Amino acid sequence: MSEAPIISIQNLKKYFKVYRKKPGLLGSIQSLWSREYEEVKAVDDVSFEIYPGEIVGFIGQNGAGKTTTLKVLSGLLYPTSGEVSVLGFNPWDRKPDFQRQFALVMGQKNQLWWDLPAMESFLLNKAIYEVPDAEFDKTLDKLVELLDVKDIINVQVRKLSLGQRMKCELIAALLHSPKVLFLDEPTIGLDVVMQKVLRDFIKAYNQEFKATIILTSHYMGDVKELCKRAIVIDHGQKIFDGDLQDIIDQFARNKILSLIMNDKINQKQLEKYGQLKEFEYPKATLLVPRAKAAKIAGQLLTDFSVADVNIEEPTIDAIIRELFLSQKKVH
Amino acid sequence: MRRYFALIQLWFIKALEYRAELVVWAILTLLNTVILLAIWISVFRGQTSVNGYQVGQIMQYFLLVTVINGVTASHFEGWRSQEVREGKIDHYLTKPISYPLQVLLADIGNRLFYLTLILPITFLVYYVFSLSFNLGTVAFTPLVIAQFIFLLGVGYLIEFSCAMIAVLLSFWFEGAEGLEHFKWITISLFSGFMIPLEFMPGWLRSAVDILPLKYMYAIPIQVIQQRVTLRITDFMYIFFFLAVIFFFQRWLWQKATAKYTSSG
Amino acid sequence: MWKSLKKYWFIFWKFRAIRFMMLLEYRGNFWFWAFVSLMWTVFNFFFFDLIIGARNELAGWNKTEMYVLISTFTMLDAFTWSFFYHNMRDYIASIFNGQLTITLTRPINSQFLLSVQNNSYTNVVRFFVGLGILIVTLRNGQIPLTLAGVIGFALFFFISLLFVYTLWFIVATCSFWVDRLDNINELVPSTRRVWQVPKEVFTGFASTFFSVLLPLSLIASLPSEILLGRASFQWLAYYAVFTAVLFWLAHLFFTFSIRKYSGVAN
Repeated sequence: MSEAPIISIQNLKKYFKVYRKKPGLLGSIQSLWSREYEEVKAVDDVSFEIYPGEIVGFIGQNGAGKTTTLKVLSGLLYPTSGEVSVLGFNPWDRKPDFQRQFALVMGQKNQLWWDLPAMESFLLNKAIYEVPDAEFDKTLDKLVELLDVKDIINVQVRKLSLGQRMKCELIAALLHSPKVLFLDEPTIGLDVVMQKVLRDFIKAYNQEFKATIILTSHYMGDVKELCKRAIVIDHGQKIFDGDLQDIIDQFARNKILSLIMNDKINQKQLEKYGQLKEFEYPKATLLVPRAKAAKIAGQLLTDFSVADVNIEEPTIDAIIRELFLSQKKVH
Repeated sequence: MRRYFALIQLWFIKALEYRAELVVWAILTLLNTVILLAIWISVFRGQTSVNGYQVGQIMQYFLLVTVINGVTASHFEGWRSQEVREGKIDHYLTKPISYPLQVLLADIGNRLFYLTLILPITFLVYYVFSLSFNLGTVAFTPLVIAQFIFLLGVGYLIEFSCAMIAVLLSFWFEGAEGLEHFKWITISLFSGFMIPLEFMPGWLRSAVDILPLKYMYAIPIQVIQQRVTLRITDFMYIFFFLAVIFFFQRWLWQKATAKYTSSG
Repeated sequence: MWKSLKKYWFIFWKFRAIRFMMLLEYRGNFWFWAFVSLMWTVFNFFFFDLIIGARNELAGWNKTEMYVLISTFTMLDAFTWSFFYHNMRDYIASIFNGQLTITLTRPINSQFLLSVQNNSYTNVVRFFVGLGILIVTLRNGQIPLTLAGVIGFALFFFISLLFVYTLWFIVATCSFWVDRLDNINELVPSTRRVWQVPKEVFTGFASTFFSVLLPLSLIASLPSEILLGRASFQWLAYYAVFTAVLFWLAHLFFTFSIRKYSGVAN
């Protein structure tokens, strides 16, 4: 990648102080004069660069520091230390020229006016972001078409389903055609069908508008389908940055062998081939070391009468869990 | 009984957590009292007595109003009604104590904390003002104290019941918490909270004499100032009135639970 | 500059239109609260009528003058409830629930956006009741009106609104510095008793405090004094300068507090 990065973070740190209350009446009274504060390292020395047009998955458990990082990138949080540049701006300056070029969408917060049709919020954003009439109409038409919401943008937001609302939230956030998009759990609470619709939209938007997107999500499906690159963060520290495939290669120690047996066999007989995850005759699932998977499968085929055998990669969730577990051991 | 104390204690702790808010209330209450006193001092400027009151007595009157208000006034209509409207009271309904009783215990817990704040401050203000003004002596005989505490309880129950009725009405009506404004205005007008009886025009005074709200402010203050003693007819009237609002409240609660459970 | 002003002007009215549309959604609510607000207005006049009734004057202001003061207060108070109360409530709530993030990412002055997003129309009736009583009182009291008096009144009415707004904004901004304070929004309106009495009610330290250090007692007194032809230039100048400085400080404090803002979740 010869281009200059559009987002660059160097040694970013963001620490918070939180207060711990002791339980009970006594604890409450005690807290009147002495309070114990604890320093939480929400982001602890994180660096990365993101290039124009990338979709990057930001993965981490609750409280890992994902949202904090996004907030720093949006200029909402002042970093404790480190250097941050987004679109060539220091986000913290919160210059209107910068703000007009990015959008932050938070699945758990909404900007639409609850009691009015979404169209009213769109028009307000048009004024705030100073979008010219022609451009507004063009972008709106395009977004409405991509998300298929023509019939609902004039219905009061409170009468919309969660999925419909999220679609309108996205439109409101994208009307000014931001070059950089921060999506914080955009599919949270949505059903599987709607998650898929939104993913397809994000992909299409990225291609159509050449936008750079950072996405955080609990749903690995989102990340797997959208992002080639993933940054994994745990306890405020970056523990992985690279191709999603690399995570699989590095951390998926096992493969899954699914068997359908012809003959009745003993559970014990299978256990010597690998870690038995499930056994319900005639089906069995074994976890086997990656490197030996093919060999073990062959062994099983010769040792037993097997109707069907399948070698699969573990789910990405399981791999990430594995990754976090390996980190915990380090800590 | 133990569980009742546990609930009171829980809400006391909760109040302690939100102490900053209660401190703000206490300061505001105090500020309003001081301003009210300033207004009355200016009414008395250049005059030793107005409508049979001396400036010290009128100040004593409003300081006592603050004390009574601190003990009796309820402010939970707003958020409780909201809870009801948003259907957030399920966890109260699953407990083996009735909802109105839980509200009462919570309010007592809250109030106990509030009183530990407001009472010392009020007495301090009382003391400061007594340095410059003759606030009149207060004879705390057991009889006076007993009557005063009894009337504080009565005042509290009236306030609580009115607030509870507003909360219960919010099972049916959207703006039920708006009823608290009617409560405040009615109590201000007819209880002696706003102005002593002697300053009221004739028609208002007759209305106050007939209505039971006078037992909230005017009468307890007169008891403290040893201008009246409760008679048996007063007790009968008080009990009759409390019984009426209690049964009304209970009836509403029964209707409300029926409505709540049927609408799901 | 001109373009920017136009944008802010447009957005200001856009919000009013949005709120009006919402009002039409909840008409029943509107009438109910308009009634409640009217009831308080009547109650307030009645309360002061009783107090003035005791001596036919209060701190050197006769009944007519007191009515001018209370109606001025009523009009100011109508703004308090319809404008400041709602915006500052939303502002404070947005600090505690993290919704402020959305406002801060917008390419527009955040203080402006936070201060104009909301309003209610329920107190419009109250404003006109105040204005009506003011006009009737001036006419019945045979108080001569001059053009300069009316303009001065309007100007200082505006300054008072600015003063109340600024004070409220500073108090609301304190929410950045506390864990949680539900009733912080009640602080400024709770001082309304001070605004609605003549500044001469306060003597000694109270007078210094409410007229000079925190000139709450000038809010309704000064515009009324202009109408009554008894205003003193020194007080007017002091109040105007105080308000301007306070406005500037509010802006500084806001900018400073934004740094403290950490968002609710991380």
